[in-house]
Amino acid sequence: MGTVRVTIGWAATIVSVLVCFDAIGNARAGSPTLSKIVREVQPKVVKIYGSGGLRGLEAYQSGLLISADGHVLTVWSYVLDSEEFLYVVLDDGQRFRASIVNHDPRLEIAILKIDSHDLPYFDLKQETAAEVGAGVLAFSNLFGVATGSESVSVLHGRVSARTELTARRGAFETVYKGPVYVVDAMTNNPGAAGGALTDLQGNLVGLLGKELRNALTNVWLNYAIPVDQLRQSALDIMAGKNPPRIQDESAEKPTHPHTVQRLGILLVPDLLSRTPPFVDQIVPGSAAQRAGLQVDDLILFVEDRVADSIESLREELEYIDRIDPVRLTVQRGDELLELELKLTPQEADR
Amino acid sequence: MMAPTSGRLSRVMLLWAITTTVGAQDVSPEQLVAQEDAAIRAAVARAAPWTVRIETLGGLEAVGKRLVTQGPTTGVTISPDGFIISSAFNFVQKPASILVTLSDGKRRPAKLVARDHSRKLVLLKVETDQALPVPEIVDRESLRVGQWAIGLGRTYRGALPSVSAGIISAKHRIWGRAVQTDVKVSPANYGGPLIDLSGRLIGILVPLSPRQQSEVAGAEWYDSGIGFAVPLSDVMPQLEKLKHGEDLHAGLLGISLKGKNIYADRAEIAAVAPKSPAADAGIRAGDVIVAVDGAPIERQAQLKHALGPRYAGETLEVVVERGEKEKQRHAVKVTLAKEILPYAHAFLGVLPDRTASAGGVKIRWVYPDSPAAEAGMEAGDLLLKLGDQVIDNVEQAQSVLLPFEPGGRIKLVWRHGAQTVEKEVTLVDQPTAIPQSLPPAELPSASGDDEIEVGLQELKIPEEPNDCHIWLPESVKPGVPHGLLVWLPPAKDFDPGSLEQEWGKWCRQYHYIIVSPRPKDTRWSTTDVDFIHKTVSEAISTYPIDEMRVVVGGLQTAGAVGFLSAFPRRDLFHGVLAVDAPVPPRTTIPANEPTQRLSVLMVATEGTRTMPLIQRAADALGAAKYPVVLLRRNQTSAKLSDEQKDQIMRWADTLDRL
Repeated sequence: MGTVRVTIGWAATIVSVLVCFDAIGNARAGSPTLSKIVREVQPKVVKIYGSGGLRGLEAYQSGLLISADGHVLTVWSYVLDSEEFLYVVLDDGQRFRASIVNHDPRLEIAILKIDSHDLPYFDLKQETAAEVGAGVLAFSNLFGVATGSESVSVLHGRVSARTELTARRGAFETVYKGPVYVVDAMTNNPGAAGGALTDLQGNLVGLLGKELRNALTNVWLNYAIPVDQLRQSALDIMAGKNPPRIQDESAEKPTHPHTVQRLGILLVPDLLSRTPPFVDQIVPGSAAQRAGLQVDDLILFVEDRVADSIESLREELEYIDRIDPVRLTVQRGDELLELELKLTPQEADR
Repeated sequence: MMAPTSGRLSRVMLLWAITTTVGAQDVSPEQLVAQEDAAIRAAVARAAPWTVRIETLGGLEAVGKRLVTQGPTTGVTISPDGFIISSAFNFVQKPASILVTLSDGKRRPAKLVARDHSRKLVLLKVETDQALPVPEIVDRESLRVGQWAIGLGRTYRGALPSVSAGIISAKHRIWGRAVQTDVKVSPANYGGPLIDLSGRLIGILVPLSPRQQSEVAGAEWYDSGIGFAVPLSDVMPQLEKLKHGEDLHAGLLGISLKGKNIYADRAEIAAVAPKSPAADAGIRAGDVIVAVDGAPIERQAQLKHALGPRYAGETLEVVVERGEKEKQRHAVKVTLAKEILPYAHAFLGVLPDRTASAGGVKIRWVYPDSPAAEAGMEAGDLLLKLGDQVIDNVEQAQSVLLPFEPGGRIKLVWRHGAQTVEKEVTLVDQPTAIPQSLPPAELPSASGDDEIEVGLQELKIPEEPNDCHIWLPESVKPGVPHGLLVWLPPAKDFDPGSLEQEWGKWCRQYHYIIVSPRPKDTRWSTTDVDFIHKTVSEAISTYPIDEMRVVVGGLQTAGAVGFLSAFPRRDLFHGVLAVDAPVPPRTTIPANEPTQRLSVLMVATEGTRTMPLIQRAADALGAAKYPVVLLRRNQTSAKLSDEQKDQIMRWADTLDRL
């Protein structure tokens, strides 16, 4: 609930900030003000109403106009479940039935089409990026506050980080694994998904993502998918091409992966959940011994992925084919060592 | 939410300040925005080299049900030889390995050298052969509310730390230990630095709560616009101690204060713990603290502020006012301690009569073999004086006894029939058994003709989703005080109609009102504790309740929630009833407060898995000098028998004992 209230606080903050900037602008006729930029951007952001409304799922989200002829970029979600109940409401209050052109399951984005023309829009071909620390604006129909001809809400914040959501397996349950902008404006709330993240000149920087919580820390994440990540897919869908199919995550796993036993490692007994993978014994002549692994070493990483419990070590090894070498990072007393373990063809074959 | 409002105001004022200063140079708003962005990026770039990434690997998964950092966290290099400071939040899971990534991008193993328990910080050490970059530290006193502040974290991958910008919202929070900011503070940047616009270090971002002490307390306020940073200028003088592996603790004086309202009452001392710093300095019960280190103290809250930032081992000058008529001021030097010997309440051995309210304390019953019994006191006698103090009522008698501990000697003066008796007795420990039988207590007559509706009623607390029922026996009338049993029912399948059936007989006999708050969900959780507190406050303000006899408890989980409810609010509760319930794990047993006596009754079933835990909890509570009664029973059902209920209520009937 904390996030929710804060969002409202921030929205109010923005109003005050804009009032301030307006005062400056009026004093110097001719220079564009932040409020003018906001007014230019708002008509390019639309309110989308569709399926949902049950079990706390809100039946609305946001979208971006990306062509003068009514192409709308948004996130692929349950709101788009049925074209029968899919409506787009423009900044001026005009309401349109929308059809779904196509969606890209890898990015979890969709393109809708409404029957209109001469609309203001974001040009995806324009290069836009934001640096860490830069001020940004987030436009969306947060909580569905804006209705009819009311303009979407705008939040002010900064780019906290540009990062990937993949640092640790299981942390983020998203299909999209590419880079994201993390922002310090509270955009992680109902209705914001599909909204616009722009720089302070109103240039599109990213598409606000769906509500996302870090499964490991329980912390909600405020993020947007950068334009450069979704530009090609969006343009392809608009051009009528079919987006590529999604890859099955389990397909990444090889048929014959490594195991700790085959590498010649005996670990301490796995009695409790999250027992750290301390090496208990080394099989003489094994890959582990050849690489110089020793008893009492603590295994921390497999390749660059955290493997700090016996369970996670076993899981990470499942992603590496037996014929490939395995790079382990281990702690030995105060030292941190990188060891490469490689099976002989005979060992790999058995 | 007051804080965001004030933050917003400051932000607007700040922008005005910027516009007025740069206005002279005729900077356009666009340029202003660009300058702000550039200034923030430059500050971040300056802080990046000493803002380091920390990975804690291996260890416990969840601490309670709280947020626990699992991904990488953040720290600040504080000395060129490899010392790094971070938030204790990042280390609650007791990691098997700690790795630090310095600005060269390489991981190095780190050791946890020491902890600052007062400010929830840890000090780490990595081996390094080159001098590490360190920050310039901002003096806390130079901070201004409304100035820019930027929070940095290293949770996300990337060359630069993550950034959240905002302002300083307040300079002295959490009793002076922290500054407050509206920067978004969360597990993504706990342990990271809060910097100013010049890239200097203001403090370390930590979760803190003004009411709770654990390492994870305050984390529920993440990203809320209420964030805290521990100013480094307070910690630096102690750095050498930390470097030598010495933990830092909050400094304790060893006193308890009279009165309940810390914002209104003077700092008058109710009791001084024996062998405590205050006792060693000659501070006595009855003294009023009027100054600490030159700062005047008019109310208790000011004393809390003055002591909050101080560490154990620090020496301060305390001025006390002493004497009834000619008030004398005494200035003493006190060296604060990290621990105070637990306080034990002394016991005289009588139950007061509840009908009289002035002119002495009429004795309802004398405990056999107690100091009072040995002195020859009998039921019906009237206690007139304790020491040289004339006693008017029960509250006063309790307050006079506070400075005494078991083993202390005190003179009693009482009236027996027509004669006045005077004898000195040695006070003893609080009883750990329940009296075999008690004479029924008499009730005072009603103070008015107003009728109070008795029987079962719903108790509704505005804005709260939880349900609650209250059942009142027919004896409840205006001005006729009753005890309050806060009975936490099982989370599921509870029928409020059963309250009278289960407890009605005993509530009538021992003059108790029963209130039954229920959990929000299908199981009890720590978040229900707040609601329990509200129901008690509501009951106390609505009905005639004897505040000395407020008991909270239940069976199993509900009993554990009873401890969680009572520990932080010993001003509200004076008894905990835990049936087959230990103190919940990771719950700190608070120090026994002289002015907030809490008695504990634990009922434990032989042969159950919880029995050893209950025994351990009873021992720990006893060691902390809480009066604990442990009732062992042999049965297969968890239900309370009539005999057990009678024992429980007899125990509850003694909570106003002297």
